Parts: sequence; structure tokens; C-alpha cells
Amino acid sequence: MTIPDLSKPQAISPTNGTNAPASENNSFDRRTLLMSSGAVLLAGAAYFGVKEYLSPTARVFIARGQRYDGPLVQTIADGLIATGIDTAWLRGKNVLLKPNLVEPTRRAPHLTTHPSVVVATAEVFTRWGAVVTVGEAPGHVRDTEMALAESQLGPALASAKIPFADLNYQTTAWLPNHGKTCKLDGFHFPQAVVQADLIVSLPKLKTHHWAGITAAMKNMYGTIPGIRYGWPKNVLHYNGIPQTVHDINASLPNTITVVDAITCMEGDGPIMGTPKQLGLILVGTNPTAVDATAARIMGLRPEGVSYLQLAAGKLGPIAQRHIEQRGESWQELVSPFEILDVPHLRSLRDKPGVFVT
Amino acid sequence: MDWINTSSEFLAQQIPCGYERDSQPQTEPTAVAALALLALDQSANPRRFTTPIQSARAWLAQTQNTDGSLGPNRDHAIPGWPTTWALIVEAAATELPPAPSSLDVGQGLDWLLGTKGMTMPRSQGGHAELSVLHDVELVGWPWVTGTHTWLEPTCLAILALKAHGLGRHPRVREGVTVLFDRILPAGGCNYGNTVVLGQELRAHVQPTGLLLLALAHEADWPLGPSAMGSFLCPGYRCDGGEIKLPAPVADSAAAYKRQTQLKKSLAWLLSELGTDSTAASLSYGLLGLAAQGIRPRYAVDWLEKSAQRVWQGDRSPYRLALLLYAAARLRQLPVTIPPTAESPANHAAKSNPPERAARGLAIVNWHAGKLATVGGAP
Repeated sequence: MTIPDLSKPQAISPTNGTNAPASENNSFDRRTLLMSSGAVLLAGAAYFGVKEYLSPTARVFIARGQRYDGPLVQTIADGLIATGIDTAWLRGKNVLLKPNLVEPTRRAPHLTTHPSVVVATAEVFTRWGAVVTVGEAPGHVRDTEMALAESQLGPALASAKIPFADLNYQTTAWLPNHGKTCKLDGFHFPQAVVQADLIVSLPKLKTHHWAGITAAMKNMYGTIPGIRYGWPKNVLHYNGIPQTVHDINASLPNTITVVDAITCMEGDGPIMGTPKQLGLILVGTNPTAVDATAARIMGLRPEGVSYLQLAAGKLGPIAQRHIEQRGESWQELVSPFEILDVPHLRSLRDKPGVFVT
Repeated sequence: MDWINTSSEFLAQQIPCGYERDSQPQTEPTAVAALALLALDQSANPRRFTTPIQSARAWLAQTQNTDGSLGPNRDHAIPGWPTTWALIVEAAATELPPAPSSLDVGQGLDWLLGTKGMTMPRSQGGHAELSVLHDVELVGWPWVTGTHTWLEPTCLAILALKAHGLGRHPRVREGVTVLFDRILPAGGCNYGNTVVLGQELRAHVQPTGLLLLALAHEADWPLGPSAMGSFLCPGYRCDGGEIKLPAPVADSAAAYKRQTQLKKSLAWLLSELGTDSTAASLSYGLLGLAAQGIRPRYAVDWLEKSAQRVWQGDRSPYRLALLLYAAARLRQLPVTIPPTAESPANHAAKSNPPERAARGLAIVNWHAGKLATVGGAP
């Protein structure tokens, strides 16, 4: 696929080849369909099915047997090419890599994106002629220098001479909310985000005790500056976690993803969970499709993840038939993650699975 | 290098300043820079930094909104949490003549007193009841209007209000209750959650330091004569200049609980600070310890090492200001850590948390028992 050169930041639907959100090309109006309260469930199911049927496909690449000291540069380059990235387009472009450094501590390295994955991804894009910056707005800690030190990402970036943008404190610009599932009219994004030609979400694959999972899309909470939204970014919570995850992703300029699923987190993620070894790297140009695939590998129903329900057919596909697999087949890699046994997470599984208390 | 002189001269030239060098001026960094220069000038004769301090005060005054609040910078009027910093600067600058433009302190205080964190009803069976241990009905201060009470804005609001003599205001008293409520069972605190879905969260250095700053002399409230001043202000004194941990109040279970919470938090914080500590965390951590009467023997070395890293890196005026402010405040305290209780690095036992925690607790117990000066600055 070719990532379009957008003259102004807006959501794109890489899978349908247009710059406008897929929903704008869709003649179905969600509110219209749900007007009759007696038919809400039926209409909702029908709408969901129609959306999914109309969804274009997206490619997701999976590599197994990966290690942090392995040939990650080759793996990530292979993945990006396999999912259709136009390497020629990248020359001279500003690429922002967005790892997850939500609350780093050396005592739990499985909490944050491993520095090796960040540096390897940076090397891939640099080789293709892009100008790479790593940026993050840690969600729970004001001392970003500490976040870089505890995650060990700071020394790694310094050694590789990769610049870092502290997204919590940068000057911001307001972009309209293209998702429109929450009440916020728009979002204040840091200048490094607004000025990026391409944003690469670099999440750590984890369970999330509210959202179900955190991967490509939830990681984008870290593009929202604490100086405007707080630590934690409670404004987003008050406007609904699934809704704001959806709307932030809908409002960001071009986004793709490389998932650190080598050592993951299960149980009480995204902070207090336990390590789970998967040895995978996931790559995709559509974050919705990548997250749906990640959920399946975790033994979870993508349809049970609220933000993926919202994104399905609008930001990308979650149905298996609309996701083209590249690399390994996810079916052979399923390894159920433990999730908390709490009511709001039970819809994540088709049948009772591995719940922990 | 004489990092204090070099950094203070550099900082004086940066005002008004941002979080990063040569970046857009912002309220918090400008205010912290002014505070640092005020603290450095406190015992200087003649004063060296009056001009940049007055410049910072004028910039802050011109940034104030019509409702009395200050946003993060001049382009963004909200959220108003940086108002606290401007108010603290004004309280600390009372010995200086009025700035060319003056902050409307009364209006700023009114705005702050009228700003409340959102509560969550426990009785409705929502997320709050299911998930969090802290008291969601207590009112402190939010980062952003319309959201929940969080720890750091509540600390800053308490410090600002105390600095202006409002330590007995009901909002401050409830804010103090909020802070004790948000201390982790094991001591220390984070952004403001304690136990979520049955699991105790991790403590962080910066908020723990800020918490100990805001809770200076609060352990015995309402039974004892809690200091109503703010440690952030140069005029703050207690017991003739010697700052002490509050005396135990044997007949008060609540006071005993609070003292225990503070002891655990001090122990945790002491075990975390060292040569590797980053600038903001180290500064807040040392300020918090100092507000509770503790000055680690190697604190000055740690500050210098951290400052060197800032100089070698991005030369952030904000981080240098924090380090300078901590250094200036620590100058006024004697070393209060037993010489055998810590190593210069203090991170030698980093891989052994129980050992580190035990060592921190031993230091706090020693300190509480002796309250003695054991030597001058290294």
C-alpha cells in the first residue's frame, strides 16, 4: 500500500485507499439505524454486520521466535514490506515512533516497549531515508527523564543518537475529533505528533484491566499531552475509554504499528500484570486489524473489546475474513492470556477461560 | 564545575522559560525558576537575581486569566493547575518590591479555592466501588476542571494556600485528608491511586517527595500545633529553625496512623534516591525529605551529578531550576543521616528491594529517635 501524502492532518483509512475516514463514505448513519429503542439490539447487530461486510481488507504480519537480541531490524523491515508500506514514500518524511512508557520500572521490564524494538524500528525507517524521532507522553509519571531511565530506553536512544520528544510538555495544536463517539470536539496534540508524516505505534502487548487489551490503538493515549489532560489523562477516562481510544485513533494523522509481543503482560495489566513469553512481532498498516489479530492470539474475542467494536468497519476491519495474514498464521500461535475475573472483562472470552482474581 | 553558580546564571538568562531550552515560555518552569533564584538570593547580599525574578513575576502576572487562574502558557488558558505555582512565587517574593505587573493574588486564591476535584458516589455500585481503595468522596484538586481529585495538584494547591496563610481553611484540611488517604499501604505514593482491583500499586519518587512537602508538620493534626506555613517559602521556620518530625501523640490512633504512614513513606523515599536519580524526582524527593527534617549526607553530590547530566543533555531550564531550588533549600539544613547508613551511590542494593527498604526504615527510626545533627555538608 502507499501511504498518501496528506496536506493536512486527518484520519486515513489505509485499507480503502482514501484519505477520508471510511465512515464518511458509508451511507449508513449509526444514529438513524438506532432510532427505534425497541429495535436497538437487532439494528445494532445488523449494522455491525453490514459494516463488517463492507470493510476492506488489511494486512497483518506476524513473526514468531523473536528475541530482543535477535535480528529485529530484518523482521520489522520484512513485516512492513509484507504489509504494503511504500518505502520510497518514506524518504525525507518525518516518522514519529511512539513506544509505551506508561509507568516504567526496572523491576517490571515487561511493562514497557523493549528498547531493542524501538531502536530496531528506528533503524529500519532511517535506512529508508526517513527522519526518525521517538516520542511519548507517559501517562502516570511527570518525570519523563525518569521514565526514560527506568525503561532503559533513554540510554538506548542516546547510544543510537535517536532524538526523543517529550510529548507531555510540548507545544500543542488542536485537531478536530474525527471519531465523534465521545463528547470532545477535538484533541490537543503535541507538535511532534501534528508534524509527523507517519506515526508508528510501538506498543507492548498487554492485557488491560479496563479496556481488555492494550496494543496499537490504546497506546495512542500516549500522544495526548499531560500538561493539558493531566497525569493520569483523566479527561479521557471521563469521556469513555473505548470512545476516546477510538476517537484519538480516528483523529491522528497516518498511523501504522509494530507490536512488541516478545515478552508480554497478562493478568492485571497494563501495570501490575505478570510476564508472558510469546516471542512475536506483529506489524500492520492498520492498527484496528493488528489489535484484532493480537486479541485472537491472546485467546480473546475482538468483538468483546469495546474500542474494537467502535472501530470495526470505520477505522479498519476486525473480522478475520477481512484481515490478510502475512508471515505466520495466528491460529497456530494462540496462547490464552490470563485476564482478571471481573464482570466487565467476561465478554472477552467465548467460554470460561483463564481468569485470575 | 560550580554547577550552582553556572546553572543559576544560565537560568537567570532564560526567564521566562519553558520545559526545554529555547522552547515556548510556560507557567510552571518560569515559576520554578523564580523560586529557585529567590531561594538562592535569600542569604545573598547584595541580591543577585532581583531583575530576572521580577521579570518572571511580571510574566506570570501578564499570563493570569481574568478569572484569576493561569494556564500552562499564554496560548492556553486552561487547565489552571499552574496557578498554584504563581501563587507560591508571590508568597515567596514578599521581600521584593511589587513587580512591574502584579499578580492578582486574591483572585488567584479565589479561583483555587473554588476549584474542586469531582467525587464519585460509592453507593451506586459503579467502578469506584468495585475497583479502588481510596476514598472517592473526598474533595481535593484535579489536574483539569471536571475530573477527579489527583495527588500532585492537591499537593500544589495545599502548598499555595498555606503559603498565603490559609492552612486552616477547610479546603486545605480536607486536602490533607486526601493526601493521607492516597498514601500506599507500603508507604510512598504515585499519581493518586492506591489499590485498584485488589492490587496495591507502585510508589513513585516525584509524587512522594511532593506529598512529604505538602504534609510537613501534618501528622498530628488536628491535635497538635501543625505548622501553617509552607516549606516552599523562604520564611518558613519551625521550632527556632530546627525542623523536627512531629512528636507522637500517644492517645490518638489517627495521629499514630498518620505518623506511621509518613515514616513508611520517608523510608521508601530514602531508599530510592541516589546518584542515578533523575533531576525532577531527585529534587522533589530531597525537598520532601527536607520538609520532614531529613537531609541525606550525599544529597549535594547527587544534585551535582544530576545537574551534570542535564548540562550534558538538553539543558532544560525547568530541571535545572528544580535542582537549584532543592540545593538552596538543603543548604539551610544540617546533615541528618547517620554516616554508616548510606553509601554515596545509595543504589548499590538496587536489586534487593527488601534490603533497601529495611535500610530506609532504619534511617527513619534513627532520625526520629535522635533528631541530632551528625555532621556538616560533605
